[in-house]
Amino acid sequence: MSIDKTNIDLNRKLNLYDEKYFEGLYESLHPELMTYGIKICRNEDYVMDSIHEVFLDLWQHKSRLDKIDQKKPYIFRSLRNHLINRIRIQERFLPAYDSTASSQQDGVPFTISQEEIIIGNEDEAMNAEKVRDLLANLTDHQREIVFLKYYSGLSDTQIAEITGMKVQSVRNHLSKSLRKLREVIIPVFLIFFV
Amino acid sequence: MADKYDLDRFINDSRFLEYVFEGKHKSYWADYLLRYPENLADFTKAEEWLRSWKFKTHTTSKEKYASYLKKFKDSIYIDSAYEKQVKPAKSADMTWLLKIAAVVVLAIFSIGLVVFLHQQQEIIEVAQEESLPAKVVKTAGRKMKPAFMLSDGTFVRLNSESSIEFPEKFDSLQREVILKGEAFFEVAPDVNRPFIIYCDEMLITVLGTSFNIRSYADDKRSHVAVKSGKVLVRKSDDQPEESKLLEIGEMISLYKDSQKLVKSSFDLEQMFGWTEGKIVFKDADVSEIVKKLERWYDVDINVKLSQSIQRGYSGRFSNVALEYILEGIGFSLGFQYEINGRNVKIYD
Repeated sequence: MSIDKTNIDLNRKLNLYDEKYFEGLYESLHPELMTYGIKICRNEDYVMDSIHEVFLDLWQHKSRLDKIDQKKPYIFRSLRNHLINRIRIQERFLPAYDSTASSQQDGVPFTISQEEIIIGNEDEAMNAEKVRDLLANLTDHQREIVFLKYYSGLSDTQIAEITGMKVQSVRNHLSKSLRKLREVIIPVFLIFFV
Repeated sequence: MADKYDLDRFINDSRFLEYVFEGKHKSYWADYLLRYPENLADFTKAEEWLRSWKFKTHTTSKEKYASYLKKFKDSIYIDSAYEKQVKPAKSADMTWLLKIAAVVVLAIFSIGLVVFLHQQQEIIEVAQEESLPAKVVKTAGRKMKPAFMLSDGTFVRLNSESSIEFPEKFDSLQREVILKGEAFFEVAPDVNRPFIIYCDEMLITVLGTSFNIRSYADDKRSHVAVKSGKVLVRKSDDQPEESKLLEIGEMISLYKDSQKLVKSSFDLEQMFGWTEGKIVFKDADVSEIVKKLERWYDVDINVKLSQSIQRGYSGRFSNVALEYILEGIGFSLGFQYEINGRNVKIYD
């Protein structure tokens, strides 16, 4: 076939998702993904490796990106799945979290330490401890939802997409968690704000 | 004093949570508080309570983050240059299958389209083989914007009144083409064979990237604008070391009178719009508008204005009739027009 026969209007989609795009995506989402990932798996290198792989995977299948409306929840979910798979493969990386706090089998371990909480009041150490205790009384699922809501400001639908739950159960978990959190924080809060 | 159960009303309201955490429903809650001012105290407390603590962002050491970022950048930049090598063998096999399938589908599609277009009698043959059998010259007349692929998979769209010369098959050392006029390129990556474009007075070297070159003989300046990847540009009589590196979002212009290369940024739509059938004007004067429309619609425009219009015109049009554009611009710049077949008159 001579070349003039290929004279067609391919109407090709111009490449939006180039190297620079991915570089920017990586840099802008890394701190948030790291903060999330470290709560599932307490090994920094491990989470860094997973983030790297998630982005590499995204890059190698970039043609699919057009079909993904919301890239952020998609990337969060990918990281979550990555970490779960790795934890399953290498049990030794399981974080030593309080086994009494989590009775469910299917959830992802999700631990939050005292240092990871910022309190807007004066008596920080004490309150951070209280919040940590309260969070420890939640299930892994509830902790994860509270985190995604508080930290990343994701919508219930987006959280449902990340955690693989129904939107309604995300809502139920969230209000249940907030009621539990309020039990102890309220007195503290009343001292400072009333 | 409000007790915790008064706060619950808000905490259990998903619209309230969406207001606090996602910044939604602001006007809803403003209305609510106007209507029920007695709830303002509870509302404020609930909001302050929810905001009284938050999570800290995890800090990674700078060195570690930098090394991971570098690893990622290296992976993707190398990957795009040596596409096949990075991928694992299995998926590479699959990609090859897909590629072959795509080529087959494309071939069937293009034969079908060519046959169809010939039947429609709308296509004008633009390629002509020269005496040397290996060389192909494609010329786009006015009105035409042909798109095609070169033998290495590079995608080219020629703008009107432009031509490109290239070998039917590239040799194993390099890929060279000669361009006159304007064209958009999406060069297929191949690190072993740089892609070189010779145009009037510039020489452009690329590995794999997409960019626009405009080098019309009657324009005061020529330019190269990069949409993705990296491009090296130099004047034809410069040494290779004098090449200027252009990155994404950058363009370089060669001013023909001063023979200087000047780097600047550009408007994406204005530069690449034509490849998607859009005519884009940005602060364009009458002569620029006339030149563009003549090429685009294959008409001759005769300007008879008693005094020249100083104002520039900005606007965009997507696949519309010439009358529509002239009506719009004429209204904005204050001129009348008359279309008589291929002849157009612009007057006060």
